[in-house]
Amino acid sequence: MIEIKNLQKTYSGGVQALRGVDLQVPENITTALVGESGCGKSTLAKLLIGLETPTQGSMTLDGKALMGMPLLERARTLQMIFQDSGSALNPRKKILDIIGEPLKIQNASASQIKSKVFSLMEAVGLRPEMAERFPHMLSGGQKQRIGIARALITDPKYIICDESVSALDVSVQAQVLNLLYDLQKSRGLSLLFISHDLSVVRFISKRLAVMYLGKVVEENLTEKAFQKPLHPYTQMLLMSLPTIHKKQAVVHSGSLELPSPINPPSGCAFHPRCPFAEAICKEKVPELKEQQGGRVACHRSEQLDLSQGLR
Amino acid sequence: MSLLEVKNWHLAFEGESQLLKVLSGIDLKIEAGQTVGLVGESGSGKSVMGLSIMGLLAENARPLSGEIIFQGQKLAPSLKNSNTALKGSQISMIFQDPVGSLNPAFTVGYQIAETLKIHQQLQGKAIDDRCRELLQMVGIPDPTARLKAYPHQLSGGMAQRVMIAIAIACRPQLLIADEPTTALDVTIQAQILNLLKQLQKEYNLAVLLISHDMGVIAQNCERVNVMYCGEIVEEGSAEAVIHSPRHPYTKSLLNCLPSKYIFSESEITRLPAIPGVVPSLSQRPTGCVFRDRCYKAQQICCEKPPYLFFAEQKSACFFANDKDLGEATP
Repeated sequence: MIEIKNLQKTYSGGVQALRGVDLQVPENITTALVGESGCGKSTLAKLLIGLETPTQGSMTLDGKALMGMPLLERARTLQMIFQDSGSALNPRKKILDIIGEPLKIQNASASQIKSKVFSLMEAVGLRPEMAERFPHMLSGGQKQRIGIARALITDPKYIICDESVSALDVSVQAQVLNLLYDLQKSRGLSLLFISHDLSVVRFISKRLAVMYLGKVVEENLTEKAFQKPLHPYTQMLLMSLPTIHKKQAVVHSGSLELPSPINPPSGCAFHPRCPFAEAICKEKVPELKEQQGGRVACHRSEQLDLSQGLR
Repeated sequence: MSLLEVKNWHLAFEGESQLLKVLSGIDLKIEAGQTVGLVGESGSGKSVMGLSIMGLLAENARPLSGEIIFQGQKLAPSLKNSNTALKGSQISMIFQDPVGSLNPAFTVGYQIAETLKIHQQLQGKAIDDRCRELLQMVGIPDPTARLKAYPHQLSGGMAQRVMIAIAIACRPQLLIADEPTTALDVTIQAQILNLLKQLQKEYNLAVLLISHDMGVIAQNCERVNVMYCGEIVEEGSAEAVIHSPRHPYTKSLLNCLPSKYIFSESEITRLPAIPGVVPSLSQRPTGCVFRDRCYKAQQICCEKPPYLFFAEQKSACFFANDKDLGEATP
């Protein structure tokens, strides 16, 4: 399991992207991480994969500290699939070389690489003749399949999917989601699925973590969070979803948008937008505590029934 | 008389060696004050249709036949710029990427004022007052300060509000909204769509809402046009099209939406995806354009293009009256 404790990241200029994240990514299941743009989801991914270093806090992978782990070892256990599959692939390289590159870095032989690439291309639903093509010759869905194959080639246990289906059309999105779901099951992968789209999350994940302004505000089984969210922010996200079934609600409250991460609000960072906020919410930062099998950071969660108005 | 009528509109783009057909025989009607949805995957021609109405097509666009009529006045095909007085005042458009649609070098106030100067010949203090009023109407806090802001200082949601302020500055009859909330967070999306609804009521504004998201369409439109490969394959009231579709494409599009299953009691292990992808402009199939990806395709679908059934709900499918199509989707 990946364990993240009190993870903080402050960028120059005082942007507090992560303000103490506590999160667990268990083995063999998909954990989703949701929140609006600017809440720190991608920063967390970058810290995990080692593209950035945290300001404070700890990250461990199966008990071993991620910080200071040799890069090659880290890359063998943890890989990432990006949002914009087009720009995540080198336009001057052939598909064979793109998918095989992580193995090359791990010093595998050319024949080993080739056979592995072809078996993975089959696994993600790409025809073998595509190995000789360049990224610009492929569709968005095919490019994302290449991104998936490349992430899988070192047989990692953990994969971070950062908005991996957001740029795709609904029909292709469904194809890629099915593929990720199947791969997760058949290979026993542990996925951290980062997304702003709650509907996608309901399909793919077992567990759900909701982030707001650099902190996790709710952690729960996905199914439970959709039936009875514990945090008012989770409820707001669910109510804002346009579906073909229910009438969409606009949650009216004082402030419209995500506040600035340079100067976060006092107390609970969500209080300016929260319809249930009281005096204490402005003063005291709520801690993430256990409730009904999940965890929630809200002063009022025990008094509220947030299952209303969702459907 | 409808506010806007598109009749049998055919459009092609001039390619390097051949004409590539983008729109084939589009019929579209919008009544005053109505919200009409245009839904389909990328590459289906939704945006090109919107741009045809606005007269913002690229240099290599070639109208082949048909016409676009706005309040009895012919908009297209016509010589370039012949209808500039209408565009921006009577018909306006907002786009998917609001920050990219604003000029980064000028203030918000300047860009709103530009429209007012050109179309309404306002000057001096009258412009300032109207700009402030517009920002207030679109829900931007502290309008006086915001007028001096540059686009990069705005969030995506705020920039889209500014775009809407510019679009409604001259009290238009028709607003073309091309994926106006696709780049925004769900919470902000709900706010912007709600704002559009309010403005629509206030001004009796007609909206052509272009989106790939059936959820957004279902929430906001009275009538829906489903587009695929440059053709309208189904048209009808939102209620009918979404709850009892008559075209396999519409049905497939609805079924692959993850949001359809979010409150499902049982675990969903597969989304019913549509096989394949939208064919490119040069590889459109003969006969029915959807047949390559369609679960109902038969020999007849390859031979001739299906016709739209002219009833309350139109569907360009030979099997539009099959029972399993009309059933409410699970």
